[in-house]
Amino acid sequence: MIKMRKLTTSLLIMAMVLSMGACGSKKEDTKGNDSNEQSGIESDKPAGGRDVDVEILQYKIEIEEALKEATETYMKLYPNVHITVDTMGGQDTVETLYKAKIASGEMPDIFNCTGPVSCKIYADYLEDLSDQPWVDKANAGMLDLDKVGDKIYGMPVTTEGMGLITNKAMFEAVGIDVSTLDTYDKIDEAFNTLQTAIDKGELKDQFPNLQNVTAVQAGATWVLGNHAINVALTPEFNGDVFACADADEVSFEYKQSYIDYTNLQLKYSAGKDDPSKCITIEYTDAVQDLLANGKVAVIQQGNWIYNDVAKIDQTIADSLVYLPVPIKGYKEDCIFSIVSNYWCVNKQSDDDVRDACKHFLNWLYQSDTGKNIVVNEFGFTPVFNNYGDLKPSDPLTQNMVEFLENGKAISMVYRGAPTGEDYTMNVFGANVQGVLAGKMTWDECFDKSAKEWASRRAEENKE
Amino acid sequence: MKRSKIIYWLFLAPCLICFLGFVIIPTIMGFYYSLTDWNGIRDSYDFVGFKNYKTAIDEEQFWYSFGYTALFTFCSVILINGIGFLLALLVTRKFKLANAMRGVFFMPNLVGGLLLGYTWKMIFTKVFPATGLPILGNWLTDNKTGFAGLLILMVWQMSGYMMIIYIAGIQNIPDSVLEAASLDGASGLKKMFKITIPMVAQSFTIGLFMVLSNSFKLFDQNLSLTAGGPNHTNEMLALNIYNTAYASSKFGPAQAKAVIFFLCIAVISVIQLTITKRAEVEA
Repeated sequence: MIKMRKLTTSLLIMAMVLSMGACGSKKEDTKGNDSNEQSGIESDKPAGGRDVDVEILQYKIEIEEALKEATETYMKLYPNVHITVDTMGGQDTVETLYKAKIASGEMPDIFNCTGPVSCKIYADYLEDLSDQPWVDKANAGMLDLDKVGDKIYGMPVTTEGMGLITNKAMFEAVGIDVSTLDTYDKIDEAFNTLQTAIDKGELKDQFPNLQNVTAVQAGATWVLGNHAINVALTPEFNGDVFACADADEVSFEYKQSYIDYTNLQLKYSAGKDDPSKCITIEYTDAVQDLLANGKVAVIQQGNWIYNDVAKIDQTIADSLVYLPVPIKGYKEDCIFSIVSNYWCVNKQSDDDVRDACKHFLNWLYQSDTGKNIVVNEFGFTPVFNNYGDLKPSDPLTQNMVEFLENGKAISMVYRGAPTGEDYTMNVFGANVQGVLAGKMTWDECFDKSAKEWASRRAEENKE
Repeated sequence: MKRSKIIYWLFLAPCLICFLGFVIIPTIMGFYYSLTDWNGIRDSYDFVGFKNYKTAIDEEQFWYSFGYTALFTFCSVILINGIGFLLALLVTRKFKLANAMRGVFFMPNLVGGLLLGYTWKMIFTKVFPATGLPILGNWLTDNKTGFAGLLILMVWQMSGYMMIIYIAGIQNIPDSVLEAASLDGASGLKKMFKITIPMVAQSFTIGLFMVLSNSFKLFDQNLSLTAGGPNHTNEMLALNIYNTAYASSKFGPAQAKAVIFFLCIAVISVIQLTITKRAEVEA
């Protein structure tokens, strides 16, 4: 009996204390950022030849292996630098990890931080990279997101495009050339033609798995929020992320365009009668199951899905092209482009480590070996003007580059939203989920989101 | 100090130091952070008094999550203990498969919470619709099916564990007492209510307490099953606190919520323990 009592008491104590989330200690010492002017960027001896350990923690899971190989190549050339690469899928996940690492005083030496809002949050950790040799070789606009004042805090990783990724073979089967689809109505009509053919069973032989034209990934708030939100925001701020970052209020004057755009996909998806069916469709379901297995013809994504699809079905991967995101009342023939993220160097790391980090990044994006890795191994689109003939290898990315070169690309501005992704995903994206789940009207969704924007911005400005 | 006392403290020291370092100090620091405006990243922060508590209390979602969690805890305490007790009664009967069944019922408890969440998510969203029944067609898409789904998952996972606790209790009942009852002419049902249940009351104390605190603090399963979605309607308290701290970078208010949360669990648990302890009897 007494034993039992002791057991219950200790269990109680355990439960009490475990329920308290505790955050660890913080770094007390802010190492000066002014003492590193001697860092020999031009010299070919990173860290002055002294042994250093560099830790990279990044989130682009697609390049994990290739990045590791790249660091090994680098370490052979510069044996005094030892680099470890950690990859954590998903941007929100990696940010959680950064915060946990900061709490335990172990912030990595190279990390990803993108956009004006994040730059403000991570200000204590951002090394000024303005003096780096690659700065004046960057293509126009590529440095903007991580520019604060006239200081450059990030090296652009790559540029990516978001649009309606389309299996053109399926449209060809019903006699439609997708490259001619450049307005909302044309796209709508093409979807309708394809859906009718599917419903009549005309494509049964050619595409036995095909069920619907599209799928709405309502399970992923970043698809609804971070990406699709630009349909409403980009026109309002005319593609200027800084205007967005300065805006005290958002009016969502293009909300009807967002609704139309969502309906365009919803109408020809499994959720046409009951949109709540889309709530359980996540990114991986849409890409690896629905699109790669030929169950749908179109999903809203970008060139980053190419490898995932190719692993499952090379033929489908090679017939993927972009359809524009039709924004009614603005531009109906453009895709969205963005520098998806930036490499940043931790200001609080030791001088030698920071020097090695900068040297490595410069090597990776500016040496001939590095350029080859970036384009052919990572599959990235060059963001610097000295890459010569190196062109991205996969057809989907090539198709994106065509859009970019023809001026058929507009910028995403969601990075300027107050509190960044937390707003676009957990407020806006979540509210859209609410609409699709049937718990909210579109008007309520936009009103609520606008109200939250204003209150978050006001709080941000107070600081 | 007497020699024996020194030895006493010496033996206690490792445990005490760990407890102090990993539990007491972080708890105090956590309370301290709840009074600051630290965002979890910046080096500097200011003392803001009880402002964070007001922010926490004013947040609609916090109270929604609170209510959701309380209701979930209520349901799971009853279901998990009820089913666990019934399973224990079943497998303490003497029949061939009794031992094998103990193992089978306990097995789900060996699987980690995150994994379970993903497994059940697949069952709810892929296997359920495949049955073709309209009522199973659309799970996890609102707070009703999300709630039911989480409850099913937890009952499936924890009943086996509770069963083990109740088996221990039931086996501790002396045969003589049951035999005496039989000789006095007590029926099976009467024996159950007059002998078995009062005699395993200690086990109920533990069982109720464990399920109560576990359900209140539930995190992994919630995260992997629905991640709180759609639109935060399945977000339980622990996940809400986590999101406040990590997604919104508001460590102060998150910590304030954690303190409120902690006090609530403590009070409820103490009340529960006092009440159930009164019901305990000794043979």
